[in-house]
Amino acid sequence: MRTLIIEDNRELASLLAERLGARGIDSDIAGGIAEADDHMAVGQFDVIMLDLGLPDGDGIDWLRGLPADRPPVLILSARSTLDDRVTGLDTGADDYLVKPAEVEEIAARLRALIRRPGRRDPVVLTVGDVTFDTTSRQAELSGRPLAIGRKEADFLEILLRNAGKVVPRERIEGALYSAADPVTPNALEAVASRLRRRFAEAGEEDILHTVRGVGYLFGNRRTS
Amino acid sequence: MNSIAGRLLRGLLISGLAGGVVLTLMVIYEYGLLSPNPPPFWRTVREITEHVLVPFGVFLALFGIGALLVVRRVERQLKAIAGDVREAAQDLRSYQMPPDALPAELTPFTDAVNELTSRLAEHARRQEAFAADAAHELKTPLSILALSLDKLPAEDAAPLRAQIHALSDMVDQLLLLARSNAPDTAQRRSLIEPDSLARRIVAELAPAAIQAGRELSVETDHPAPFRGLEEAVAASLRTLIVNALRAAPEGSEVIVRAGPGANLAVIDGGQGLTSDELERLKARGIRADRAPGGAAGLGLAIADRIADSHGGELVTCLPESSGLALRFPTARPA
Repeated sequence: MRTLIIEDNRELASLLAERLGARGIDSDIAGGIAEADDHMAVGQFDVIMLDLGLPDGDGIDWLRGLPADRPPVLILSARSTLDDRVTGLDTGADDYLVKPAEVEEIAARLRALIRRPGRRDPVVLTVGDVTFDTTSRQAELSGRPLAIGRKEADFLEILLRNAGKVVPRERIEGALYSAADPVTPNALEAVASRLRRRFAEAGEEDILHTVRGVGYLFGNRRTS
Repeated sequence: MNSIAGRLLRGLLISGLAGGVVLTLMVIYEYGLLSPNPPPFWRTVREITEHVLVPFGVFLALFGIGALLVVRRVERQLKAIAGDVREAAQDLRSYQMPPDALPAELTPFTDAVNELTSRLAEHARRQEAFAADAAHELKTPLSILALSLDKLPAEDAAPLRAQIHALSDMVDQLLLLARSNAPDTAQRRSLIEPDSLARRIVAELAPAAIQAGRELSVETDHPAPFRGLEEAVAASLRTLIVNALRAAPEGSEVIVRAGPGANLAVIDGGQGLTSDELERLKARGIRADRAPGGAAGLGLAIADRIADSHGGELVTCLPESSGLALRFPTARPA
């Protein structure tokens, strides 16, 4: 995987290249827009990492001028407000990260950008000791099957797909019940507590969390 | 009374009385009222009435009514402008008085006030530009630090990484503060729904809170929207929640309450800050080194200033509950 790093701070750019190199991602460095154009003219890149405030122009304007068949672009910028991120993404950037970012995260996002086309969700979802087969609807904890109903399986699937994040209850309701189904306020909590009971019976007490007023979160201290 | 109408009426009365006395004296002299053989009394009265009282009465009445009409009109213009200024203040816009809105005599005053507001606006704009530059400059060394940590063993890097993130958050907050003070942010201000903002920030912070063994939840109590720079308000709320989570004992719950009205309260199980303690923290302002909890003190001061730049305030929830609340003025119905 070959990356073009466009960043005016030499020290930052070479450190970035070095740390990404340690993860098997090769990079070229451009200190400004003119240099970036030179690199683009002669090299083939899988992905571009772009800083916005450059000495010879604004990264956003440069991004606008790129041809349609350009490689995916990850903006790495000090500008952190919602406005900045929305502008960056609206201009056609494929992802936006705010400085200071961790190498681990930068590398993960770069890899995600490259495999984005044709990407398919895995058939078996795994979070820590929990696995869920999305076709057979079978859940397992540490290799032992869990006996869960249809609604609990749907609930678990959404949570596993968003493990480590709070999933809003409206979204879960939308996935579990059709619009015609009347949903009583406690219906979702009932499904959640049945699921929690199944996990507790199997020896996992602390994995499904209610964020009251917002939604649900899946994961424990070991898995996330 | 110190009104222009009052002064005009008083002036009219005094000049009327003085003119009346002069005219009376002239009438007395003209008709020889004080001569050895004065005209009969009733004739004297009639002369004075015809030549002094009636003309003055007519003059004073017409002039008085005219003056009052002019004063009323200017008053109405002033009230209209005051309304515009108040509206601008509520939307946190800067305001320039239109040149022809008031009589020419008031031009020096309106010009001076216009100049003052435009200089204040320019000052705030420069502050924002400076803060943006400073934030950008500070982020680069922080990025270099964060990347360098990658060379350290994970357990050594973790606490340093947390510090870098705290520093970076603080830089963002300072930038947002400068941005909420800038007058041309009016178009960036949107209608903020307290409950959806609370849900967004709680969803963002809940995973870390649960990891740390604390619970985080949202309660709503008739929330009403308010106008503001959403990212700045979000940063203030985030600061309050992070502080509350830090202070809350393990296993306890931190509740974010949206409402009543345009209020966002963060309630924890701690002892809470009394309003005196909170005032002291706010007054210390930027001097985080002396505030208890260091970064927390600075964060609270910034949260308070962001609220202040929205016409709101940071207050304590004591004695009803332990916690802090951001209180904003409710948006006017459009």
